[in-house]
Amino acid sequence: MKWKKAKAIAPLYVIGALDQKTAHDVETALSSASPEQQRVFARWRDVAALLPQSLPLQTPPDYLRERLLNRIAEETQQTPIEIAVEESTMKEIAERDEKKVLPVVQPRRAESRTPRWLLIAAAALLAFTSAYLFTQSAKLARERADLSRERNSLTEELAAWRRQVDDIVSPRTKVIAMVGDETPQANAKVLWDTKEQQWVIYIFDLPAPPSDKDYQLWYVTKNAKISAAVFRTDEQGRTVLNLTLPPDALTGLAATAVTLEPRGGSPQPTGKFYLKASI
Amino acid sequence: MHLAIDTAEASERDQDLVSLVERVATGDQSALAALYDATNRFIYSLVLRVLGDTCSAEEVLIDVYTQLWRQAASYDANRGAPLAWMATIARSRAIDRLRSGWRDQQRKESLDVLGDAPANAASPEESAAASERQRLVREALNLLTPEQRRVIELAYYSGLSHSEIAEKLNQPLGTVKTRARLGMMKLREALAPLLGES
Repeated sequence: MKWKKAKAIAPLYVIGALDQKTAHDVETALSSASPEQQRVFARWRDVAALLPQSLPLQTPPDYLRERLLNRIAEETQQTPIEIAVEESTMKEIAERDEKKVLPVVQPRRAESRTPRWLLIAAAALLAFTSAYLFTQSAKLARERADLSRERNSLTEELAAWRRQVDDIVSPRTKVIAMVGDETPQANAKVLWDTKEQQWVIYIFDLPAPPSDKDYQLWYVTKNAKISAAVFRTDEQGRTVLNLTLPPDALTGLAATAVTLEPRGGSPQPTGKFYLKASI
Repeated sequence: MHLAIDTAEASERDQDLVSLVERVATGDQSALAALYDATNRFIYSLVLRVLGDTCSAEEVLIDVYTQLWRQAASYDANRGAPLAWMATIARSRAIDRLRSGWRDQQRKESLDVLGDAPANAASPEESAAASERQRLVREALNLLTPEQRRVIELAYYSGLSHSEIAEKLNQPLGTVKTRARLGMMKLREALAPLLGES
């Protein structure tokens, strides 16, 4: 666009009446205009800027002043990265506005406030931080998986305990106390589910047997002594037995007892009674 | 036709604003506060006129001064008055907001829509000076034909190009261009003392 034409449409340009392409042509012409030619446009801009002077003055709310100053104060405390990002955005806006009508030169503050070395250092710090956070994230994921497994295990254990508590308080459950004979401190509780004919026996303070011996539990009926289980206790003298009563044990069941037998158990009790209870 | 006005007052005010902008460019927050105090009502009135909505006008007002804070170093006093520079930024931001479709346009399109609103000045001196400038520019605008004023208003406050104005007013494009150009030339002549051209 020749200067003569640009000058002729300057009044339209400064009020934003030109279409985008023509305005762009004017800006191109202005970019190589002489200072005197620039002043011609500056004068027209001043005329356009007087237009709003005809408006009745409106007063903005007082809180806007405080909000503005707070924003500026916060901006001065931003990190170099935040400043660089915001100034990049503002630079784009400035370039766009300059193409419209602004008499601007290249921003100086953006260059001086964000040295290149600082941006490089910030980028390196960001990369290091990202790697560190990635490692921590993987570690946390593993710990989370472990905790999830532990939680599931505890949930299952809790459910089992709840079932046992339910069994204990159920009306169909009989509780039979076994007392020590050879070992007076030993004791046991038999929880008998009379519907399912199942026994859960908790044994306490029954000393661990010698290495060549095992304990053996017996159903004692009027006619026979039936082997129920061969077991050992731990170092605290404890164990738990889960048993299903055989049909022949249900007939005439009179007592239950624990004897100490040779390793692997015996067909019939041979040792002394360590625990016993009448049914 | 020239209007009788005091150019010394306008020149002194421009010098004060130039000093403030230069201080803002050095990162002086108190200067920004002073610049805001001196010009916020003018800028707000312009933005409000474009947007026709106080909520969006308040947001844009903050954005305008934030942009001024960041770009004060780019201001060149040899290429225009500080208030013209600020008005250009304010209009540009407001028109951008308008075009972004942020709100349904219900704005009014006449310079007179706010004509009867009370002018709230911060001080009696400022009120008097503002009222005087307002009167002078209004008198200058009254020298234009209604058609010339309409075209200028639609371009400046509504952000319409001459093609869009021609379509809106159902007038030939050439007619719209002529009205805008002649209208602006009349204004420049009438406001020459305010522009330091008398």
